[in-house]
Amino acid sequence: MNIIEAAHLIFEYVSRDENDNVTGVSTALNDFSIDIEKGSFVCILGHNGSGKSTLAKLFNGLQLPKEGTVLVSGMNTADEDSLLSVRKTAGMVFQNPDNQIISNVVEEDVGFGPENLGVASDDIWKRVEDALAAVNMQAYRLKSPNRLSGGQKQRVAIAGIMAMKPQVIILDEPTAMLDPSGRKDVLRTIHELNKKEGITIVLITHYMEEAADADRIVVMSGGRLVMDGTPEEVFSRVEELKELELAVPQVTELAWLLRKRGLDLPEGILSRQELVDSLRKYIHA
Amino acid sequence: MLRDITIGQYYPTESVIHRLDPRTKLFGTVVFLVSLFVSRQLSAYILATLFLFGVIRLSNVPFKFITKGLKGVIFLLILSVSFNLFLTPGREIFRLGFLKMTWEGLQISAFMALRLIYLVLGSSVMTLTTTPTQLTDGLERGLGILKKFGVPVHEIAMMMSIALRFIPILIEETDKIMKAQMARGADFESGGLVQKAKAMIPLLVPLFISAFRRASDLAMAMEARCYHGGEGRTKMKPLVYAARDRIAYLVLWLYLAAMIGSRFLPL
Repeated sequence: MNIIEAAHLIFEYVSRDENDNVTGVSTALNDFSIDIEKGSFVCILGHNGSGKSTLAKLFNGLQLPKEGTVLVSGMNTADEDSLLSVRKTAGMVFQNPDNQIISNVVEEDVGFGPENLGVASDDIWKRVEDALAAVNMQAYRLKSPNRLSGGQKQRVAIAGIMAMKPQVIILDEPTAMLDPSGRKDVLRTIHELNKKEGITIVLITHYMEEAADADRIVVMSGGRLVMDGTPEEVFSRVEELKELELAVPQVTELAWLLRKRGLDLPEGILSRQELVDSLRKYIHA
Repeated sequence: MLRDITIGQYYPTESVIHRLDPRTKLFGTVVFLVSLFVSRQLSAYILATLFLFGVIRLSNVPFKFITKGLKGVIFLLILSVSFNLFLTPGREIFRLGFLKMTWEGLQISAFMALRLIYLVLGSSVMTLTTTPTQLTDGLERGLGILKKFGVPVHEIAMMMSIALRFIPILIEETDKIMKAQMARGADFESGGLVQKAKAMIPLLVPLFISAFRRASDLAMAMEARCYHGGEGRTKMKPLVYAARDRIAYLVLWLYLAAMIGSRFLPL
């Protein structure tokens, strides 16, 4: 079953001068279609300006497409009446953790979403507790967000979405402003949510390493879908990725270079362990 | 260091005053401020003093914290006292050129100073015992009646609480920009007032740009979290009056009545 169905999306940014005359049109999405299966972990990769952030905003109705439709759990994002349900179903986490936390206390921030949905007070407390437990931040519930690290803040932001009981979480480069340990933290958290709570994850990123553990990778360029498949399938097309100015994970690149030099290694190696294993096999063969 | 700045200078401790509903405290502050102006009798000042110091005792906030607020009004205090002291006509104490100090002036300026000091102390007690979040919540609920007259109470309260959240972030950012500019030779220290003000421009422009960017990001994040104004919104921590609030209201009314009553006393 598909949780998100987007068909033939066209989205343009129109720039105007002070007299409202159109000075330029840049197409962010150009006849883009994608279906996202419920419970899956999908990674959307693309260079800056490939249209991936625009796509995220279309997924929960923050922007509406010029043409085409986005259905979230069967609801059209263009339908004014179902907008709140769409946003509740498809939660969104943004890049800058500071700019999406609105309260001075962690637990109050997590409660912000349910408050907006008109959930009863007792139920809000329970949701906040569950959401903080899901991202493993219970110990910080009374802290000020200003005192947390970037990774912790981003986990609070994820908890804020979890408290709305979403079915899918869209993360728009959630690790771009974090240090390596914060990045690991956030990734572990979203993988856990995917496995334990069955939340569909749409991770938008330009870090290849983050994509390696996804169920499916979608590569975008110039507002179009250029590759779609499992990490093994996508990362075996090293040359094409390089043309799109996307770097494959280091291990994959190393394996690819070795293969080019005539070593008989399998395609689409994603982890260090895989490479070590296949090298060992190669040497012993 | 910059992360520790809290606006509203809340003093975290455990006390009856801290636990009072913010609406009670807001109302109490207004009552106290009004009460200072209803009577000029000596007895009224004594009563106000007893009331204020009683509340300060109950609040468990060290007295020196409360008097910190006075620093801001010291200039105003000196100015108004000296004007009243020398420019009130009446029985002369001594004369210094064309200035003469009078008994009446002495009396008026003493009471005036007391009023001003009590105004500041009274409102400090409230801000020291109420967190900014409670304060905005209290304002939102307490001023709810104004909604009927078209005042966007919820929006104002939301703006206040967001402002409070972003003050430390913007201070940190100012610090960062300042250091970045200093690293490239900007000079914020030397020169006169005008020059110093001019030196602020390369600081303020990037700060404003970033503040606007943050505001637009935050607006989008709030929308993504289903924010759609105050309508149909519930509260995680709704304000509920407890028994202590009822007692506080009773005490406040009694106090106000006594202050008004003091007008009819001989002193």
